[in-house]
Amino acid sequence: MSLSVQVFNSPQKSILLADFSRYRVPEFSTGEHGYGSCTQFVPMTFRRATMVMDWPETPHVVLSGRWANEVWSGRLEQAWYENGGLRWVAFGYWQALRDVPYTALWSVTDLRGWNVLTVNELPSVATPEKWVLQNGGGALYFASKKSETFTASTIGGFYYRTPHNGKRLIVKLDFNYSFTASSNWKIAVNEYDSAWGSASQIWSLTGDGTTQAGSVSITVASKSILLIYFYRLSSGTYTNDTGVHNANITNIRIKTTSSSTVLASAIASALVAYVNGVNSSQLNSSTALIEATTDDLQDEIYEDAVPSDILDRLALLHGYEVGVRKDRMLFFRPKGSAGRHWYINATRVTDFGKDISQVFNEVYGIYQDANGRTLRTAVAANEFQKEAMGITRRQSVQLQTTSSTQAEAHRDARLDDIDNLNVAATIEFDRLFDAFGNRHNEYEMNAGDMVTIRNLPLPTGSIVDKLREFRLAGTQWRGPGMMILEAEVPAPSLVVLVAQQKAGTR
Amino acid sequence: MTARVVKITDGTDTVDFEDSSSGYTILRHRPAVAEMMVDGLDELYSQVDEQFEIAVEGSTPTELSERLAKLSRLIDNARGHYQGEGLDPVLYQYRIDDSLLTNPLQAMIIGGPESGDVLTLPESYDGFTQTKTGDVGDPVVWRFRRQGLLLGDSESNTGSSVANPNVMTALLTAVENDSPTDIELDNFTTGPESTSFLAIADDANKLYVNSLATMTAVGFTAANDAAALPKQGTNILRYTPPDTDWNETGTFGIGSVLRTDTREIAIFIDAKKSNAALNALVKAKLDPLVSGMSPATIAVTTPQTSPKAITNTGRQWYALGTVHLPVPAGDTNGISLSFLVKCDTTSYTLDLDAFALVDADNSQVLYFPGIEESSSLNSNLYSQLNIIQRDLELPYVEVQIGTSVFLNLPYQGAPRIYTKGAEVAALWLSTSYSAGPGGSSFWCGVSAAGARLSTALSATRYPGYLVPR
Repeated sequence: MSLSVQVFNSPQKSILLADFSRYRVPEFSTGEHGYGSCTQFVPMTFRRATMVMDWPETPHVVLSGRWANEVWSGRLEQAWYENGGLRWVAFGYWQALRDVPYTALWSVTDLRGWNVLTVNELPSVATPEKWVLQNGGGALYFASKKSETFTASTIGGFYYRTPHNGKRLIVKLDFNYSFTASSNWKIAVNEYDSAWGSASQIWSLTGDGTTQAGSVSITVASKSILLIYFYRLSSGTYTNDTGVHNANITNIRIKTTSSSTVLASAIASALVAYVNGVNSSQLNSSTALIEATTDDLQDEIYEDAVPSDILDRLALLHGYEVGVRKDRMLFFRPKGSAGRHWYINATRVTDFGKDISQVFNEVYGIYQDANGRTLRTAVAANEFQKEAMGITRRQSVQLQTTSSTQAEAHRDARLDDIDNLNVAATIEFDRLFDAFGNRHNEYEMNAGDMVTIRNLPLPTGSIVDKLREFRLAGTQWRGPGMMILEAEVPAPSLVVLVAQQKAGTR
Repeated sequence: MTARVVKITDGTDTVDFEDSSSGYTILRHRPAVAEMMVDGLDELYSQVDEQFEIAVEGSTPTELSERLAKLSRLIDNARGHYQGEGLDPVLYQYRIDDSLLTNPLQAMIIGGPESGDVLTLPESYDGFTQTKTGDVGDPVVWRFRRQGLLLGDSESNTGSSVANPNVMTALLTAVENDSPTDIELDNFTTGPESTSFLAIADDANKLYVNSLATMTAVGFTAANDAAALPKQGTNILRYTPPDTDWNETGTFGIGSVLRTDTREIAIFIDAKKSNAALNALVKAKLDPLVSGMSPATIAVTTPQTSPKAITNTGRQWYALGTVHLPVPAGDTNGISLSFLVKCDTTSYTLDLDAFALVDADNSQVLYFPGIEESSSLNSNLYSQLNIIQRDLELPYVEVQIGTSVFLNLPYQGAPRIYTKGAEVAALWLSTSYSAGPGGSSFWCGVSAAGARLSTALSATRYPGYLVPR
């Protein structure tokens, strides 16, 4: 007895729609994002097939082993009537992270989002013509112009606005300041809702005739707009030279979390909640398989981004793996940290070769400063691989950050990913074991597991060593005794085919 | 002396080769013999093709034509029934001469042969003007595919009632082949929160359940939860996280409860978290002590299950996965079971009541997700669980409510159950809510009055044969 196939009305499994266990073997796959696809052909009449296609909601498919243990699960997305039956195709719940785009600001240090306040925003007070307002050199600069007449209602400022209809609001503003002005002048911060209503001044500093400098961390009451502005407390004409009274605001950071750091793991958890907030049954609400990251992400803004793309990028930057597998739980964790280790004996090697075209032994990162100027990290190298190859192959990786520390961390993660010599082969094996020699069903293998081929010749050089042990990038189960494995190297892949046993007999 | 029976029938149309008035005569027929499939998906035995070389006659040409058409129609109906159409099953019935069986063996026909035609007329067939067709040298050939196992008359037994959760047994006469077995539990609760597992084995020693209450350690203390009817009767094991790392319970020796040749074990645990905001992971660990030359015993690298998330603030059983021992249980100096728990905060607790072990050799488990109820009901269904194999169709799982109302029960796993030994054993792992709105939950199956259920296992087996007799 191998796998059973049940179809429920939803992941809550309250209604069993069909038991397809008796029909042809389902084929399923696993990949870097957990469960991949599953398909099966079920002989049936056209009339019955139309009834199946009319099943309500998005049916939930489960393949189970002998102990009702989940081997694969997903949602039935395709159904085709062909050749006297129904072919259905289901996909793993990674698909749920492609259902709804996500717009939100998490953290920004990039100054390009700060705009000069004009009459279009606050017509009764904005007077940009009376000020020198500059955004550049990593700072917002304010200065009153000589001979201009000011009142308490003539302000010069910069504002920042969160993405329209974004899911997160500003709760923290940090910056450094340098302020030179007499006691008749003030610099302040206001918060507003998305329509410039509910105005509230949340910070201010009055001039004292000297240059005052410091840093602040301001709590914002979940608002969409922040305004930093300069104004005179009472009416009068400014008679000093332009620039004598000025303010310089630097190291600005806006956050929509009160945590001191913005972590990829927190974003992953939030995306689970977001997806479930729209489609409550798709993902398991538990975030137990999301492991904490430590890098503080400085610039994370998503506008109409697909959650799966967001997670892919975050995983790549941290050397993590991300996907959805058992119990529809999102996993976000260091690569290979949860994989099992399998042992096989190769029965036949049919072809074998190497390819360096996808291998790079040096990487540098491309990032930006606060004003958007392109910067490049130093080059990181795998010296051993350079020695082995005898040539340098260098790749750049585009990063969304203004932090050099973060850029270097992501550069190093990328180098780990692409510095392996590419080996391709087709190898057959017929049985699967664990470390103690216990035999297992091949469908227990998943992407992310390690595989060791025990009987390759020794001693050998690095080429065969690349074959000897590898991590799985994907698996395709096509029935008892028929499993295709893909190794975790850049394409072309290592393909390992299970030798077919005599079908259906002992 | 019992007479030979060779008959194909759907209860209405019948081809009876032993009835001389039927118009059908066997010229040559060699019953097919199925094989057991190691990796059979739904059925344990291969399907087989039967071929009959026959002669057919009628009193009139029209009757002959009708009898030939019946051969084709029966197989069409069989195919339709097997594909879920509203048609009666078509059965192949066979009994040899001087058989020891009272009734013929039977197997369901599922359609045409794997290759070739259902009906091949003789070369000498000349249309609708004759009253007989087919002879030894030029027969009518009739082919169809049937389920491989031939089933005999059933045998039933009901075991003693036991308090939930405990191992139930029923005793039957051992048979030569793994044979389909109906399962009934006379008291069974199901509802929106009553997810449960049913483990079935051919030996009560392959099933084990016990309380975790004595497995205390740092962070793990016994706590009174008597009102919720824990396995131990009074206490459960409560985990109060000292930190957010993995922490281990005390150990429980299971070496003596497993069979000596046990190598693979499926492990289940009954758990409840105190707050929905808590993220908790649990995994099981076995520490086998293996006899060696020097030192006397060595602790082998311990197999563990993958971390399982505890997702419910209600009491619920969870399948933790299977553990493969490095050596058979009988070759160890003892095996300690413990559980590792990790919580993402120290603000909440996790309660653990009982664990269950299922020897993976020749056993199986079904999972029942529970039935979604309208809020106005808000209670469990107290009834009998039936897992039916006997109609030779796809097995079905139902809950009986009252005397004549049946509700199909959603399940996950393989409901086709095969046994052959003298003992059929079952272990039902369940939790439940008490009746009425806002009722509290229990660590076991309970009655409407909130009392621990006692349940008996009934097993009905249809002895299967591969060789007709």
